[in-house]
Amino acid sequence: MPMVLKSIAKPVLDTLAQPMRLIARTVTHALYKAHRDLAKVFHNKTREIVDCGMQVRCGPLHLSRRFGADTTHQTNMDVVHDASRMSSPVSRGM
Amino acid sequence: MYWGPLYPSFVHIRELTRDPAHCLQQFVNERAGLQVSAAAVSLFADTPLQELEFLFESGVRTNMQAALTTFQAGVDALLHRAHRKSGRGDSAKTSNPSNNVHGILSNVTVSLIHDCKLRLEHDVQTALTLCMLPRLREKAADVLKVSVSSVVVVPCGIIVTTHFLHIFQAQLEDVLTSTSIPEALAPFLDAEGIVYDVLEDAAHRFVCDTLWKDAKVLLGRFDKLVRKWT
Repeated sequence: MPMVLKSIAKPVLDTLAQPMRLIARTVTHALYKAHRDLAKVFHNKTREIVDCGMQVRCGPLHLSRRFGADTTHQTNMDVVHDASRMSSPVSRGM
Repeated sequence: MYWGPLYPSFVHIRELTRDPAHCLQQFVNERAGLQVSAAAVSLFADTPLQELEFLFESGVRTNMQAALTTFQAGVDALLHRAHRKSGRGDSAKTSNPSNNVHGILSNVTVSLIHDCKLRLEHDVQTALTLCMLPRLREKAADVLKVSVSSVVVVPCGIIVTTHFLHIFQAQLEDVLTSTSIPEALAPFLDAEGIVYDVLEDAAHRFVCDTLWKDAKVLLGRFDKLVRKWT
């Protein structure tokens, strides 16, 4: 900071120090709660969506096969999903 | 009004920006030995709270977007790798995809919490600086007892201190008049802006060196979240 205004700024800042400490802690606390909830929402909702996607939409078997795991327990849903995935857009009339 | 999944985060922010006095009181009530002073309430009330609300909420949205993009990129890369491996026929080496996706999620959550810490630090420091600036400007203008813009001696690039001003009042009298800024340069120079920049810098340093040291203790709580989710 240029040498300047230091003589003006310092006493004012010292006067404000006490109330500002309370404000600092309050703002930090509120923002901590906001960001904590953000992280919670991200983690929980994404996990929920991933689990749901694994079980319902893709089917555990479909993904497993894609990743090279055992394929002996294929469900009907997997078969349907595989069929729709394998047919090209042209053959489906799109 | 429905704000989507970010609703819980926005509630905390809006409690603070819409009713700061109540928020201060609530914070104090939860802790023994603290009291809300009238100075704190009036200081907070003078802050541009809508600006702060926008800043805080933008931070939350940006962090969420960054986390989702990173997660998506991680899953894409995982699927791409799996596709290549299945093409090569070395499928036996691949592990359960569910574990992999959850692993990506854990990593991204850790990154998100790290981002949250950085964002929180930036936002708190900005908010506190904005909080102090109005008083600082008032005081500066009051002490100088002249229009702030006339205090800057622009041709030499010097800003005069009050101390300096008192000592050399007589000698500087001529310089401190509006003629000190050459007319040709006047449209290009924001003398008042220079003074405000200096004050802002002083306030920001004060926040970083003094106030943030007390407040940042709370960031340790984020580490507990990391341990919980990894």
